[in-house]
Amino acid sequence: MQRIRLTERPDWRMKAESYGFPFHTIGGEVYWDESIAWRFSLREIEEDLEAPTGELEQLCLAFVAEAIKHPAILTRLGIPEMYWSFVRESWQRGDRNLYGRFDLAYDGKTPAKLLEYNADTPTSLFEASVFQWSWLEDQMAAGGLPAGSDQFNSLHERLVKALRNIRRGQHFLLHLASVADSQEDKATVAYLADCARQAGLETKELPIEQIGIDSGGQFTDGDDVLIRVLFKLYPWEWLFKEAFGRHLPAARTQFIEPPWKALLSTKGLMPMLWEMAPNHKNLLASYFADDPRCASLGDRVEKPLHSREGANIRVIRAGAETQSTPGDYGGPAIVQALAPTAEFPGGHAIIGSWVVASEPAGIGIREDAGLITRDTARFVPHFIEGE
Amino acid sequence: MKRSEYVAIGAIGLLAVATVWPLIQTAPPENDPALNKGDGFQSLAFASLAECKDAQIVTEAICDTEYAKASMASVEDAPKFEALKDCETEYGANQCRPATWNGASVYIPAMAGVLIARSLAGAAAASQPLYPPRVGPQSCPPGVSAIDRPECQSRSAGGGGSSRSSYYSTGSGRTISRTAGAVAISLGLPPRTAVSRSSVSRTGSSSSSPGTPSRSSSSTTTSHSTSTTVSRGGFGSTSRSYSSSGS
Repeated sequence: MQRIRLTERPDWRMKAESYGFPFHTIGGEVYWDESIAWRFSLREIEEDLEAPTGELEQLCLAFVAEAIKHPAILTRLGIPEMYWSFVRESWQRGDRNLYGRFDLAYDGKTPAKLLEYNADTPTSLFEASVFQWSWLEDQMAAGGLPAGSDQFNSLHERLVKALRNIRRGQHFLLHLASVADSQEDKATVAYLADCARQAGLETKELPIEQIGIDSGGQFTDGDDVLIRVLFKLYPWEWLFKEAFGRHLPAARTQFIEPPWKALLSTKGLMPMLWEMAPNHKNLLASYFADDPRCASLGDRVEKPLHSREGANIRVIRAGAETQSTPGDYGGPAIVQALAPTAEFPGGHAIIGSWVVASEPAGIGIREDAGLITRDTARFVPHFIEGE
Repeated sequence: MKRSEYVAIGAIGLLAVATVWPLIQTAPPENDPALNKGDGFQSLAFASLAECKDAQIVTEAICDTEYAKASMASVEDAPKFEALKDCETEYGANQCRPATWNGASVYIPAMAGVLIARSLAGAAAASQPLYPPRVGPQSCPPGVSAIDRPECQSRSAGGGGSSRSSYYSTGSGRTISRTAGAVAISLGLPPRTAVSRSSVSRTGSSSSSPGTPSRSSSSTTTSHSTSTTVSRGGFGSTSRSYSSSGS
């Protein structure tokens, strides 16, 4: 694993825009940064990232199967009691999931460690799946990287296939909802809609605010069309507490991600996994903040159960806070041992390791100045050196 | 290979088919009729199944299996065009055929041969379909040297059954040349326009007419049940307190 400097494609900004990826630069700061690339060996990818990702996903699925039986766990994870059956039934019915992203600390020397699992509403998908892929093809064609290089990234192919399989190959209309005023979320949804059309589905994108309810308690779109299958780039914990939340259990809508993902898309998962598989080589010691065992952790990180984009996080080293981020997220928190991440002069990199339909599907790398990866992080492409 | 074999997006259609042929990429660009040495593989181009068998370089069983595999792969692998004339502009008259891809009717270059790589150490073999050389204007811009781009000289050579010097292209647009009498290959540079020329921007999204490339917008809602909405706006309020709902 090595960080190298590379010549940028002269036309990458134009390409990004023609591909529908306008947020390559955010607030004047570069977000997609191809002046840098991370090089991996095939062994590092397959043994240190791909296999552990598959293993972590299996661990998570085993956790869901267990958690739905225990009110104490559901309570600890903050799932309101009125949704317990809703979550449980979605698991028992076998509602299919589409995708998720494990954020891993990996330095190329020690086993990758799970920082958190974005199981419900992961973004940075398009840049990982499409733009990173075309970057490699362009670099190989131009001689910037040796022909025969590769990339751990079968996201596009797997997304198309997984979407086709969501209803076991049946044709259906897929609604995709995201927050009206978030351009980045809209772009993620537009890309998934594109994948769905390639899978032969009909699609309809809509702002989540536009969703309506009919007299029978069924969800409708802005044209009064019933929503049968809904991809929602909107967290379960928010849906649960909003006005229409009470209609969720009785609606006959199939959700992507399914309700059982609510058990995984919380940092409360970290102490739960640690308890299930203590000392697993890819897990960090983690406890809920009110657990006295937190004292045993040494250098550590505190995170609220549901913070996003690195908000409200505190890093504590040698007993003193060394870094913290502001934010609006409060509530219960967890404490996690501090993990060694890939370092470079001036920053740290973390690996977003994707699963599609619970299979490892590729990685994307984000770099940020401090130890906490925030929405200011830069996305940096990677490649696998030829054999 | 650890990456997608192709990536397509609606904004511009098929981006590219991955350069899936590591054997080609590492083989030396020379017309050595004996072998392409150096990586333990021998790459062989054949214009037809019969030619593969006649050459007796690989067993007839390998010819059968690999030719069949390449044929099956060719719809997925080939550049796709919405109109026959666009395909013919790129590959020449009578070199294209209709196909169905993900429910959409498209035109693709007809398979003109097969490239088989066999491991010199064992029985392992791999294959990929070959297409006629690209003759389209994009392939031979004015002023490009024919040494760099052999297809510029070969407008009439075709990929057909001739055993004389002939040129082929791969699904990703790479040029393969095969010299007189020999089955060894040499490699042209990939086209300068690495992003595919394909004009298929959408793939079958209409249930009523699978097999017709859809040109309309994505919201074909004719056949979907509607209801009467009694209330709206019950979702989305939390997001107003935060910058993003993604993570």
